[in-house]
Amino acid sequence: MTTSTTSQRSGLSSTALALIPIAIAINVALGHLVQSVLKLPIYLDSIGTVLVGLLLGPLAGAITGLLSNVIWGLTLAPAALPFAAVAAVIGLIAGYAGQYGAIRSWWKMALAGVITGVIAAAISAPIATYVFGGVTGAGTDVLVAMFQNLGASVLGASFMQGAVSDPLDKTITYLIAWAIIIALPRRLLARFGAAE
Amino acid sequence: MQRTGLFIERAGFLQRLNPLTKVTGVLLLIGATFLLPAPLTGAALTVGALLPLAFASLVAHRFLDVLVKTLLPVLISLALVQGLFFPTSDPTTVAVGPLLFRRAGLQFALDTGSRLLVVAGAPLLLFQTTHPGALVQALIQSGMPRSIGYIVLVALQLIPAISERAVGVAEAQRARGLETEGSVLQRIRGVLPLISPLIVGALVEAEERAMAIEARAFNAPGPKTWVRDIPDPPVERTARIGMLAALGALIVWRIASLFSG
Amino acid sequence: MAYCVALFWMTVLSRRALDVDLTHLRTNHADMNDVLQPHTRIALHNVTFTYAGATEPALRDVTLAVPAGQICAIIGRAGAGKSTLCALCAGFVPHFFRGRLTGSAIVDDMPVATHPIAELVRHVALVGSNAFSQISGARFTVYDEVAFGLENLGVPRPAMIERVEWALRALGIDHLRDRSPYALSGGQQQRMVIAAALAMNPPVLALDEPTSQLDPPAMIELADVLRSLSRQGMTILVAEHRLEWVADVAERVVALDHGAVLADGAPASVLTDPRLCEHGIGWPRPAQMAAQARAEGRWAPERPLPITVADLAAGLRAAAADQESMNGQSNTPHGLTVRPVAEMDEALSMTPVAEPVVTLDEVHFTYPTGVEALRGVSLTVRRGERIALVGRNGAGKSTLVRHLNGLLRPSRGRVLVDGVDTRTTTVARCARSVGVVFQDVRNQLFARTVRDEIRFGPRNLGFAPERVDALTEAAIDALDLHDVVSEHPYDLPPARRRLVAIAAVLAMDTALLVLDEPTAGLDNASIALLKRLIEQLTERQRSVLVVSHDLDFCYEALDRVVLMRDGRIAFDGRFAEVDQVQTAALDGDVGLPIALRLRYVCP
Repeated sequence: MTTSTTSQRSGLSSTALALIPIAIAINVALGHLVQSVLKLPIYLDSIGTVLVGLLLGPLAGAITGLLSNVIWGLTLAPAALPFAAVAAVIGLIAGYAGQYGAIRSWWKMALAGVITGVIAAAISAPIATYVFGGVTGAGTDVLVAMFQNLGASVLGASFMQGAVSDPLDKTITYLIAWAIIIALPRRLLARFGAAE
Repeated sequence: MQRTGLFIERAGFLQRLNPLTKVTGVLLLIGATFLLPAPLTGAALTVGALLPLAFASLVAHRFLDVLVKTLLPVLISLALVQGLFFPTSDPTTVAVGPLLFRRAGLQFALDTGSRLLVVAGAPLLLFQTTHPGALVQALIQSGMPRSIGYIVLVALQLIPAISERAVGVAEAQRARGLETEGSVLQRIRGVLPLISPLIVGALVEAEERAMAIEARAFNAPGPKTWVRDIPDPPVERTARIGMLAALGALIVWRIASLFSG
Repeated sequence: MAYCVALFWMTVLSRRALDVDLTHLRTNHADMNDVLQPHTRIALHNVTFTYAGATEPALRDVTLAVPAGQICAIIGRAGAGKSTLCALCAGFVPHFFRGRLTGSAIVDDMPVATHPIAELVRHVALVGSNAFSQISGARFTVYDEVAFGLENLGVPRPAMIERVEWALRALGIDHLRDRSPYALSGGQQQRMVIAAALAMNPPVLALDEPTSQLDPPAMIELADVLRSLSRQGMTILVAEHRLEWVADVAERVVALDHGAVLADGAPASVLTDPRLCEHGIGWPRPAQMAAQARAEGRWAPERPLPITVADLAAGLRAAAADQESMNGQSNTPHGLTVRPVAEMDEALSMTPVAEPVVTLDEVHFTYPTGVEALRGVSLTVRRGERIALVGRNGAGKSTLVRHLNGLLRPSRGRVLVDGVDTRTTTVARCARSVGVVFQDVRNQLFARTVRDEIRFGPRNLGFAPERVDALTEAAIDALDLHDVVSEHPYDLPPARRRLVAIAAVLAMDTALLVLDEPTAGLDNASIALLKRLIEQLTERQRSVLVVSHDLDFCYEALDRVVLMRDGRIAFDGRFAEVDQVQTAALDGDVGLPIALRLRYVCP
């Protein structure tokens, strides 16, 4: 439908180049909106990453995730940098989910959300353990303490904590992404290639 | 200068260095923290390297401020969770008031916390003393894809604008009777009307922005030039090679010591 | 091989970069041939273009030749093909927006269809209406932003600096060079975006609706900049809705209708062409007013219709002098008075005792940042009133609007909405009495279809399903959206998108409807629709408050005017009764509607 030139080195089209920074800014801004206006206990800080992955594929998704954490590190908390790998994998999985056609039904999206959540928990656990000693300074640390008290190792408790909270957040993220994408105007769907 | 992340405009020591030198320094510091024995290395590097550099760069106050604000909750949590619940066979405990801490847990918390000071502090000092534009230009000139640099810089400047837009969306929808102050159910119903306009509007804007990228010939073939020059004196190049060599030596030493037992 | 080609282009491009001044271009072409036959910069021949997926062509058999140095305006209704024509001249059609293109399009001697955009940027620059999204965002100062395109083309540093300095001076933004691009006003951002495009040295500039985000002072500045560029030999194509601005700046006007050229020629003849009215494009206000005066015998029948206010005043004065010499006396001073439209509806307007919808009582408001935006504002909006809220940027208008429905609550003083203090209620509850349409409709639209979008508000208010349906259909009627109810709001042209946003709030059936800059980017046909809507609302004893820089629209559609200055109300009166002092206050802050200028300034 539409064309745009592509940078030779990174393989990103001008459309991807335009969309990814906006998606990153949305990741950062939305966390704030949902928590400050609606006061709901969900993060949604990877919705931009998931959207880009679904619309533009695994590479663009991974870059969005990775750079979101780099930006987070540049602006607010440098401690977010180690988790960039997790964010990249979230974008990568969203890209494959998009290629697989998960967007066609809501339950496939929910499933993709659960899978993403479990994998994200599995990758963040070792980072959380070796860099942060298993804690993040947030409320979920209580879960870590609980699992350790039940006999889990630091790594095990860290993974279990993630496995409890991540799939829920990611499932909600995927379902919102689904609701947004199916309601997109034709013109934009054509440009951002989800129609394929 | 506005909206430039953590950067503080001062004329100090680190601000005069080439960004690549500082990036190399960060890599060396973090590498050393994980390769040399804890907790001594992390604490020593923070006191012996990061703090003096922060003072020499006239950002010590803000450096400590941000470091404490971002790390303090993590450190407290670390001490409580691992101090009280660390899985260990060592029965030694330390009583602090009514709480009975496990000695091995406290040791673990101390080791990790001391490393965290450098893991968070070194990049923080880099970002506080390096303008993001200069950092990205230096990285591109030494081989990073231009598109990655472009994305980082645009995202950095867009965050305040998108946050402002998020406030505007909330206002527009509340003015249409969207209840954001009611029950949990009502607030959940508000998620889509609040998020959709932000994202659909952003996608429309992305199309216009893609046109702007084309109009500025971003993807034009051929070599690129830069309107600004980032000085890179030979002494800094030598220093970078030295730091990389030191990092390499540390890695070799560590691997060798692992194999020798 | 590819390397050789690249090397060749490098040489060509860097040589072009050394042509430092546009006056240079003019001298290049000022040989004998060009004096006899001015060099054509834009040459379109039988161009037809259909967007991929569309059934109707966006441009039909367009033939157009624009000579060097001319300012050529493209006018037409929303969706007439103006933007497509601009995009075509810059190569975005067909390289970015795909579709089927026939005929030939040559700009600055380059056939656009066969050259990539990255090459065409040296020949033609395209600048759209939304300056914000055209900022590259990759640079932190105005200076670096303007240099960005040249860096991407690989222009050597000395030549680059020379071009950047020239562009900053040409657009009058030299003093802003170290500011952040995001810290500029809308007008400044737009001039920066134009500078960034012109730095690449193209002899042709295409502007798509450049005034839609600008306030009147910024519009005047832009016109000055364009005239000065044109004097230096720049060819300028400008697609625009505001016909008064077109009349002021253009040397030639092309009217498009459904993608085809309807009229083409000098502004004075095209802008008063009767076919413009037949096809819903309309005339600039001076022509409309003179036509009305002619019908009333206050304009000489043989005198051509004016397109500028000066000509209108001269014509009215001449007619009045004729009258005077015939009658020997004059009843109205100078006979220049053009009655405000609102004055004719005086019988309809409210009695002063009508019930209040919103009452502001000594309202003060200070933002958390410490900015004191309101410093004691008292204002009562009664049923059936039509109010224009005007003032400079930063005078406190948007802060006041946010108090009308409880989005902001006063730091001191109180606001009553339908008798209820906003501090004791929620925004959602205030929304039953006060509906607000904000300027940026993007913040509002989210539904899949126009109809769903309009239903959202009344459903939030908890109305019965039958009432929701009835209100939705009535709003669709009022804003003439029948043909697009099942379309996605974002698949409509921007002008109709704004009408959808207005319909969505109108359907909430509130006692007061607040419209923030409702005419921005609207064509004359849509503006006429809006005026009719306001009139109907008044008949039903609904109140309307409009925040706008478009004083002519305010004068024609509303009757009460509230001028804000520095967080206070400078004056509050009726358009029909403003005196000389109040007129001067208006003029100094926001300018005057043409009718008031005729009454107080031009004689």
